[in-house]
Amino acid sequence: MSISCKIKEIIADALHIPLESVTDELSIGGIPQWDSMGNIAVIAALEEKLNIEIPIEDLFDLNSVRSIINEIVKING
Amino acid sequence: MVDVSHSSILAAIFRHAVATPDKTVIVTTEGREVSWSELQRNIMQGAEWLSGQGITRGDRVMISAEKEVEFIYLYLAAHLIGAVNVVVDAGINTAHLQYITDMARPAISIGLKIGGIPSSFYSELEFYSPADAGSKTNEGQVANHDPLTPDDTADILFTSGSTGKPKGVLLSHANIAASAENINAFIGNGAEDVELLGLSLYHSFGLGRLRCCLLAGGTVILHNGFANLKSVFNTFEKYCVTGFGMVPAIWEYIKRFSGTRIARYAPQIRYIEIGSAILPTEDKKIISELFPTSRICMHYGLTEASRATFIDFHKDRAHIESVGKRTEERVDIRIFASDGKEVAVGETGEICIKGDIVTAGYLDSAQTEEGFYNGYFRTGDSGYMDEEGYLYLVDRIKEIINVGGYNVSPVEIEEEVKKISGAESVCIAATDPDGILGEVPRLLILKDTLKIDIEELRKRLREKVKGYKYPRFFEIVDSLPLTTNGKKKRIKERPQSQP
Repeated sequence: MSISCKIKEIIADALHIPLESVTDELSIGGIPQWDSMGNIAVIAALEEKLNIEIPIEDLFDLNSVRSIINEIVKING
Repeated sequence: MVDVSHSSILAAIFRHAVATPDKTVIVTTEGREVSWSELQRNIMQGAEWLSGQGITRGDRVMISAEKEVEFIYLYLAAHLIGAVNVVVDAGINTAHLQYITDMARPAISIGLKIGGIPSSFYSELEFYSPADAGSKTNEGQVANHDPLTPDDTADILFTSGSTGKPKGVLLSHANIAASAENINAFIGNGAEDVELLGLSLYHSFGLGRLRCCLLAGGTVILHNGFANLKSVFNTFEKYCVTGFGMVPAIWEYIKRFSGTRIARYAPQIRYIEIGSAILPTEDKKIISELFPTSRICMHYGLTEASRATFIDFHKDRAHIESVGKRTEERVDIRIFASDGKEVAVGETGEICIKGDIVTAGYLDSAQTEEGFYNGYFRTGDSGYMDEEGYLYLVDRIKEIINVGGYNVSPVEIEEEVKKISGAESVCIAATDPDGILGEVPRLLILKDTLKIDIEELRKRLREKVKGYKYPRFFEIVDSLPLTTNGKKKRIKERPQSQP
């Protein structure tokens, strides 16, 4: 499974939404489930399941599924 | 002419529509701008549509509070014809919706489909034509021939009850107008203000902020929450936002996800209203420093009495640990003991409120009877008032641990633990370990948050709290016990009483 598919799966799971609704373009706040509490759940799930730590200074720039994928690809080098 | 004398909010909208017809009052989440004249026209058309559905004075309109202009039009349209809005969350679960439907017995539902009741989604409604600025409204059809009064019920909002069943709070036109006037008077909202409205509209706080802006003649930018802070800050810039409301949890989120970036907008932010939960004193100080010239206001209130006191973090710095004081003569706050008698200044008791911001009661009259002492609404919060009238919250009435007949406030001990240990995520929960001595406090600290040695914490806490308040157990836990509402579960479940 590609990293982007894995990330989308984790996001869908954290937000309790169907995997197919997690598109690259989906933005944080774009659906009711992805509110501030949902976003905290998403970040925590990504960090735990991918065993990474997203730098606090980068969190602000994460505003869509695509930006999250790009960030994690960057972290994983 | 349509009579709007029963509603100060509608009267203000109609005035603004005459005085500044082309000025923008609402910017939708899609960025579409709605003028005051368009707002007035669409409220009228919404009223026409509701009347055409057979809705009349006193009928209940179940309405899903989506962050869309259609909600605002129909919410206000219902007020115009004297119907009563039962405002609910668009994401309400089936069981909760069924309970509210059974309690409120709506004549129509908007935004949610309910079996057996005429229902429409917003997308199915065509009660107005956004592009047709010249359309006429047949005022005869919306004229309320039966005179409405400010004491008529305008809204029913459901809140969590201590029994676990939501309570339907009846709010009159006079209640919601008094609340908005009270808030605007304290904050100083004016027609020049542009507010980012990220709060949910099904909550008293968010809906109240909308009404405040409409009353003042300002502009409201509807925004889908605060999750996407980049979008929030871009909106600040794009529309020259001058104010917003937030709850303490949102402040925590802003801190975590954007650091102090928000301070860049301090020069343009005239006001911030904070409410709905306790904000730690340290955060009050941080916000004050980040916004040195803004009016940072925090309110204390409930859906049943919105809002009773205010504090300005800058002006009331000497009383920063309080929740402020009443700002208007029309709000009367008293502290009563459990026998219903008023206590002396500085003594703790139940905070009770009287005034035109206070609900007449609940849908269930039995709940109304329990909810008042001699005309004063019982908040269920314990606190005390100092000699200057500043109100200090001590705890929720129901969240008291009874240790051998002594009442212990979990919050009080938690605050001491936080100060000593630096751990933010702590919980004092009641436990009854041996079934003889009754409840004792048990300290739970979230794993990896304790910043000092636990033995050091024990020692220093012992110096700070009286013996009976001292936790019997100290535990490091993976997660704190939470209620279904996400609040700390401090009180242990009691067995059902025997018949």
